[in-house]
Amino acid sequence: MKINTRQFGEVSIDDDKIINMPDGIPGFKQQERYVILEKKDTAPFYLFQCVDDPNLAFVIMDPLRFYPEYTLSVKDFDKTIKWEFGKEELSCFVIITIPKGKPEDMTANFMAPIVINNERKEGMQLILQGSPYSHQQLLLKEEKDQIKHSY
Amino acid sequence: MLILTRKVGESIVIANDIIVKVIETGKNSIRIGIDAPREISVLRQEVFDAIQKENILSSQKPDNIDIARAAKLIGNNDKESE
Repeated sequence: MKINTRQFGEVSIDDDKIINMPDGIPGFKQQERYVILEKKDTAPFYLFQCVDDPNLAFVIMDPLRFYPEYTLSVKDFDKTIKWEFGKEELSCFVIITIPKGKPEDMTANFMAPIVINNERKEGMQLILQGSPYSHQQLLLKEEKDQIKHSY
Repeated sequence: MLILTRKVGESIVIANDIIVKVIETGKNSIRIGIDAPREISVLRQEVFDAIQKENILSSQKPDNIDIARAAKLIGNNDKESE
């Protein structure tokens, strides 16, 4: 099917690429269907695009790029989730916030990753309670500090 | 909002299976114990609010130029650290 996106224009997607988010995500409970889009010039970022709203999209990234030790535990999931942990392949992404005109101040939300069950094409935003991770982790902090020191 | 007075050790029951119990009181805080079915999500409100706020913020239509610039910054950063 063809969908409209604000960032990438009209895009053709396979129906089996659609990810269902039964609970929506906090702030956007009504929107349940998303698709992951990628483009060369925005790699390593992906666009988590809402299928039903061209204006709703999130920039996402693999958390391991920043925290190589980043892991989720089965205990982090609600017990009623019927996924077969260990048998079904999961993907994990973190949402990036890019302030307008200030990409160097971008942050990532490691406290509430988007977790996708690739077999079921089903996902959720998991909120890690008591997590040591920030929901506003600067991604270029070290670089920024260096710039400050050189002044 | 329904307001009830409870003593330490006393509880309230919500919808038959959610129990909220006052464990301990302090000067400016109280400790609460919550027994709820697993499918009921219990979060500190400020945590939920922060995630919701961040989601709204991150969906404020970043344009392609900013995404591409951010991607370049991340990409470059990786190369430097290798």
